[in-house]
Amino acid sequence: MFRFLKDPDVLASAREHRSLLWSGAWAVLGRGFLPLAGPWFLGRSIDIVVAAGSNHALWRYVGWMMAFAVFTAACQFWMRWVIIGWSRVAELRTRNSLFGHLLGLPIPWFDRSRTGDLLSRLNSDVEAVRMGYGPGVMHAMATGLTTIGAVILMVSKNPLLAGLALLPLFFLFFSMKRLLPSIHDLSTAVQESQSTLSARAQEAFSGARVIKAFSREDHENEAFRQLSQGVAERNVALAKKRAVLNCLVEGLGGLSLLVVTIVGGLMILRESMTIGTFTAFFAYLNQLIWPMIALGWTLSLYQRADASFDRLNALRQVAPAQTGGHAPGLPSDGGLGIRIRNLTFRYPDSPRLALSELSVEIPRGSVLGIVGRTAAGKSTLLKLLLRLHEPAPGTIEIEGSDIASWSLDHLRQQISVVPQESFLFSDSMAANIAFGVDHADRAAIEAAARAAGLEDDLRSFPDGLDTVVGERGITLSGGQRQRVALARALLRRSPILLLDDALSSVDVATERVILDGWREHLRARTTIIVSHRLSSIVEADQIIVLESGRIIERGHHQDLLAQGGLYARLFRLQQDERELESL
Amino acid sequence: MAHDPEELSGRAFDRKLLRRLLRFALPYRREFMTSTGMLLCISAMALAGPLLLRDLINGVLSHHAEAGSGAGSGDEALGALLFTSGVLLVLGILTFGLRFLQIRLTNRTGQRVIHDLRTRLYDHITKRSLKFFDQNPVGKLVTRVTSDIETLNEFFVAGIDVLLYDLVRIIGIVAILFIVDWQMALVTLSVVPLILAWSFVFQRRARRLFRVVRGEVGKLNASLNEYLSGVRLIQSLRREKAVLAKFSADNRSLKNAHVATVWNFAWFFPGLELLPALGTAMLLVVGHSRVREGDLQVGDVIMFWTYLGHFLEPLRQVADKYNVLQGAVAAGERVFRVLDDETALPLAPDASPVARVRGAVSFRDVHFAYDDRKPVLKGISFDMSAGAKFALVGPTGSGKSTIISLLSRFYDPTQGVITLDGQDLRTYELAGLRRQIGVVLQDVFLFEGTVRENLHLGRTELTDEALLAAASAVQALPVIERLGGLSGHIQERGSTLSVGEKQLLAFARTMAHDPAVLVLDEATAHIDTATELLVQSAIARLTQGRTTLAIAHRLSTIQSSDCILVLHHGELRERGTHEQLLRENGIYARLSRLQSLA
Repeated sequence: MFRFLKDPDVLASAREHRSLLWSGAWAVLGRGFLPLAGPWFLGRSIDIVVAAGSNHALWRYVGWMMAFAVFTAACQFWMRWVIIGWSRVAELRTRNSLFGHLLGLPIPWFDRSRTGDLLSRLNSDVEAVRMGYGPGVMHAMATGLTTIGAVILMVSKNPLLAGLALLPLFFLFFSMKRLLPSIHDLSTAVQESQSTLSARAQEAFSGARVIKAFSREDHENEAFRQLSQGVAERNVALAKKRAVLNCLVEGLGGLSLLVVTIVGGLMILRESMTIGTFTAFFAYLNQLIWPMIALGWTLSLYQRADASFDRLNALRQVAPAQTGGHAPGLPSDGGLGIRIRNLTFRYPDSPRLALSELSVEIPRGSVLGIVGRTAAGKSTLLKLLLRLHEPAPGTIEIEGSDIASWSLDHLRQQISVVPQESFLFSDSMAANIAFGVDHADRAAIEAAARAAGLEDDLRSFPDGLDTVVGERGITLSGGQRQRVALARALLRRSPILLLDDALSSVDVATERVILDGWREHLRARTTIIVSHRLSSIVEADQIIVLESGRIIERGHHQDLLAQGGLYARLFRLQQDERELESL
Repeated sequence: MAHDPEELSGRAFDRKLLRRLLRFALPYRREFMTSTGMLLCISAMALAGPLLLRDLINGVLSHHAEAGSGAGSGDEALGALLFTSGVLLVLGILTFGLRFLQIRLTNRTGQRVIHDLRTRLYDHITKRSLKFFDQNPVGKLVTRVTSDIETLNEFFVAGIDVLLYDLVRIIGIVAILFIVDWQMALVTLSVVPLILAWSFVFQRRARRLFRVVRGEVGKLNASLNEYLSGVRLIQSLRREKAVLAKFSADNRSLKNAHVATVWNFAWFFPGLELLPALGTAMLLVVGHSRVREGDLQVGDVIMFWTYLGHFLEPLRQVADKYNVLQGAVAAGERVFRVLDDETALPLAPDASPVARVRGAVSFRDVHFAYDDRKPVLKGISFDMSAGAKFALVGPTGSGKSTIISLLSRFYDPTQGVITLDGQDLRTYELAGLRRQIGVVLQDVFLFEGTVRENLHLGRTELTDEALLAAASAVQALPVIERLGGLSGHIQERGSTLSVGEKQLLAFARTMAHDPAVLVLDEATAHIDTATELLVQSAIARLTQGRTTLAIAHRLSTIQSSDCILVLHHGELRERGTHEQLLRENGIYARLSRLQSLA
């Protein structure tokens, strides 16, 4: 318990706001003790009413009562504002530092993690920890103080009555402690069953065509009916637990009051107690019912905060990718020579070699084309060049220097990549194109867009380069997306360019225009083009055909056609296809 | 559904709509009435407590304390005390017993109503024709069966009768207060408008602020999702610092939105506690002078104080329930709009059940337009004898996919007739008809579940052996093995499978269902040419012995067709075998020549 209080970011934030938090702590103290004055003055006032005492005396008590109520309210205000407000600031810090940490983690780790899980780490878990150190600690302290104070006051007034009246309330506290976690579990179960139901509906409506094609409506409805039944049953179970909670609170609270009525009444009859004290007891008990619920509630908050804290800690303990290393001097223009020797690679958890003894030399300023079936190892090769996965030392050299010993920064500065799935952010076109550089002037962005064949598209967009794309903006076609990704890579002007099937969705005519426009660009750098579509690579200086991680054919376009192997077959098939499309 | 879902009538108490909602509760009216009766009893008993206490204090305790009188009245007083306590105990036990039973009953019944409504809605949606799905985005429909239904849930479970309960309690308390002493009642109730106003102002602001928070959370999640999915790119381009700075900015505006709600509630809660204290103070002052004048007794003052405390809870609830009601009416309106949508294919009342058909297909002067707009097909006619292989060729948008959709009767032609074995499609029983027509589309849809479920798709009479035999015929066995056999799990939309693999599974599925007519839309995009070779040989097996209509993307597959239909702008421009079309010297011939030059 209370492991979450050791959250490093929260501690740092607490130190930073130390004096403010101290004032909050004083407010908690006030919020805890000041409300106790209310019942006390109420009791006194009632006694005056009973005795038909002077107006003056009554006014004094009522005045004090109001004064304390105002002080209480002020403390409550300050306590909430300072402590809960601060908890949001600390939460900001935790989330930022976690996200910063996440961004530096190695890619193989991301391959094993699910985005949904990471999202819930950064959302629900960060929030659960905040609930612990913010509202959790605050309410526990304030209500704890009230409870202690009320118990002391009641005992000092009448120990016997206090003991008897508090008994049901302590029972209430313990049953809350047991009941609240199970209510929490049940409501999680309700939410889970609802999201299963929602996913089912989502899938069925998206697949309406298939469902109809196979006349699967009744089958589908029956499956949904069962899920719906499950949701209903879980809801009922939850409601039952809540009903128990409800009755316990009202019933045990009522029992306390009943004890006061009987025992207090007897005491009044024996003249060992005044009606004022009797009323004050009622008021104290009313004040205590909420703390009993709140204390039970905060205990369940702490449990959740601890569990979430452990998950966050596990995340913090994942070691970031190794970024250090040296930065060898490199020629300033004309691209960089790459030499790959006996490169073998296997993904963790995969029985199969993704690349096996691959060797190829890519001279400065030349173009290498790579062809092969799905999963032949083409993308893997590019990932290793970028060290998104680590190649074995000595297998990849740039300008004669082993990249395994380079600093990641230095290596990746030399390389621009256009990945297979062109990734766009929900932002303006200009921001997307300039994503890879720190600063870019408008003219450079426009030039890059032109080189990627985006000129006409931009003219048709409402705000040109400032048009927002993605979820909150216009939807781009696959080809347009790829060209944006291309422009992004071109703007980086790095000596090595990697294209991972980067033109697959661009139509053939546009592809031709882009490639022609590039010819002189390409000479200034070393380029590796992976492509399913052979028209992109017919002019490459060198083409390799990969199959199961091995090079099975290599040479120029004409050589490969003459060999009549896989390359030649693929080439004829694609020509066929294109003719039909152009009909 | 031409209307925007947001564009609702806006009236909170649309009586017709409420009545229609309540109609779903009609089958359970006995349960609802029982629960309401229980609630009335509970309210009555809850009201009695402070009254009994007052009588006890006034009748016995205060006199006793005042006079300090003799023992004679002592036994009487003790008797009265024990009697009142006994009554309170019995009332308490009854109240909580009843309350527990009532909550359970209402929830059970409410959940049943909601379950009925939800399954009915779902059933209605799945039975609409494809036109309905074209017109309604999936997200919207999902919202109808999930969050809208949840809102109605609140209405049925915690809405109607709890609202009644609270109203009865409020009215009861007000009545008692006025009967006992109208002046004191006015004093007690004087803080109520203040509390209501305070709650109203801050809760309205809270709702607005929560909307802002939800918006910010959504924005943060969207960008977080983006950054995490794009982490490879971010790292490749070394953009970690820039991304972190952007994320911090989003995070900060979320924090600011949260802090605004903290500020709101920091004011709200202290005020909510201060106002009743003010009420208590006024009660004491006025009560005191009234007692001195001899109009009241101390027990009355204590009673008023007790009722003031009892008043606050239902007051807060009623304000809350008004929102629930408003939400329910809006949700109900949206749900009913779907339930009232009757977009469906007209079904012939005397539809003939379908036995095995031979598979002769004819299109006779078929016209079609989506939504009465531009015609997509203009007078298409052709005849396919059973077992014939036809190919459809034409540029994007020429109407190829529409012909396929019409053949599976996803839509009815706006003019003209399509027949299967010489009989109009519209006269067949729909489910049976579709069982005779197998469709494999470019974009293969897989459901989350086992491989087995995705292959039999509800036709559980297909044995594992039959499924595996079908899979092996189309060379899909390696894919199934990779997934862990028939019991292997397929992710949502088959996200872990390549396009080619999904295609093979779809072939296996169709092979197993063994339709007489096969409709094929060959995959072109996003599939590598080598896998394509595998797919081609699977298609060859699949089409054996079936009437086949294929949208073709490869000249090589077309050449063996019995007939090639060249479609252009919704019209059939050329038809015939490969050789015939070459002789005709039209579009197709030109294309073929182009190819031979290459």
